[in-house]
Amino acid sequence: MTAPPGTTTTEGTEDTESLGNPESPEGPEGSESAATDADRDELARQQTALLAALVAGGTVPAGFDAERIRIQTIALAAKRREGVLRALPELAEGLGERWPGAFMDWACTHPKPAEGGSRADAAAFTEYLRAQGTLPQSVEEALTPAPQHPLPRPGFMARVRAALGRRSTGWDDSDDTY
Amino acid sequence: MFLVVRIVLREQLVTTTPNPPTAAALGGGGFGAVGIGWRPEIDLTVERLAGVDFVEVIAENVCADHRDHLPESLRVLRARGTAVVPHGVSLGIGGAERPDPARLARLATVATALEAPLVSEHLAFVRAGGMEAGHLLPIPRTRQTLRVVAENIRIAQDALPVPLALENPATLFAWPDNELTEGQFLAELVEATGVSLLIDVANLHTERVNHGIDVAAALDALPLEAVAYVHVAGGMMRDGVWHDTHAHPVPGEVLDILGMLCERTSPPGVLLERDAAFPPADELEGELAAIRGILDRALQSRAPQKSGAAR
Repeated sequence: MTAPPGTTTTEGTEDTESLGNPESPEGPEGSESAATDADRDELARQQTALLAALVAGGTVPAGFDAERIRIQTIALAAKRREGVLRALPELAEGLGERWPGAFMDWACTHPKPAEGGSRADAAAFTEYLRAQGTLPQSVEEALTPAPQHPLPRPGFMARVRAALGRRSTGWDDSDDTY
Repeated sequence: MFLVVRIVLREQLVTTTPNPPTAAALGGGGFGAVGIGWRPEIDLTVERLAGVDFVEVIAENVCADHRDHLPESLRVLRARGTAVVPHGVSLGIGGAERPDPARLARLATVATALEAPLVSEHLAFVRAGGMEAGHLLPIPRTRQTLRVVAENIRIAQDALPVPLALENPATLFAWPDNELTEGQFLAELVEATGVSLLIDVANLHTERVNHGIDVAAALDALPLEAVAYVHVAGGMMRDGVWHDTHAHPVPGEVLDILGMLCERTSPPGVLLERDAAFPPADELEGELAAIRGILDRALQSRAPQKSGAAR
């Protein structure tokens, strides 16, 4: 469908010259040099400090527009709020007027769990509410597993699978769209 | 022999030129292909929409361990020959860490299962210091970052079975002390790695509103021969900044930037992104028709100079 990677032509050279960046301090060799550990450490330091300000209540690093960082913080929390509401719709009704403010306040200082997507985010938030003693009873009930039914007879699941034709939805909503 | 020369070139100079897919590879029949982001909420709609040459799917959301595990709608589209491009959102290729081999392996599996002509990701970071951002964040455009990102891209390219295209992000804030413009930064990455580009014209609109960039200058700085395809999407103003929501109609300003891009190059494909607040099918068809109209007008306007040569 496509040409193999690494196809070399002369067009690239001409087009990159049209960038109008004659005083570029480094030619192709500069940008081709490998990243050093120091490069990665410095970038990690910068990104970690910024992300701490955005999702963990950290201080805004020097040089950033504090108002824009505030707007980004709210945008990140709002995106998580939509995911959490899809994962656990009972939160909005259960918290009433405290939704969505309670979630937004929490999300601006508590990063999204690294694994598990919005379900894990919802679980972390409800755990926080429970620890505070403010988890609504209706949400607690929604989180309680349904009573176990008696064990099915041997072969039951095989028959269910056969009846369903082993169809899978093929969809995993653990990661939201960006 | 030629192959050996190519390999030596790549090993020694680490300089490759991009090889974005042709319009035909995206189903455009030699002309610019038009596509839409496939989402489970609108799977039947996407299957029925007129004028969809290719689709894009959020790579992380597809179970691709086995072809039978793909969503049925994607299997229907593939059976029809509709190209499907996996679009990654969580690799964090602009992060300080090397790309996670497990995430790359999963992206490769999805690309193979979908027989994708390419995969795409973002020039962004999504995690740092053990914290997840939950969204794409801009990176500092310094020479130092450039070295890190170029290496990250090479690692990703080595792990992927198809070419990679990198997307310019929409941002709400800017890093202080940027040494390069976004166009310069992307051009340097193309030069160093041969990565293809996914140019999001809605994100260029976002950068114009939020940071005052000159869109024409930004387009002129981009190595347009590297463009694999283009994103078009809607958004909204709030708190004095443009939010790239993918949940609102595509504004005329965004379509105007698509027109500016098409005056400069013929992108192999243009894809409409809609992620939420899905409108009726005819509204999506209207936006796809507007995109098609811009591609057609650009084709006609350059036809006299090029004697009708295929794009």
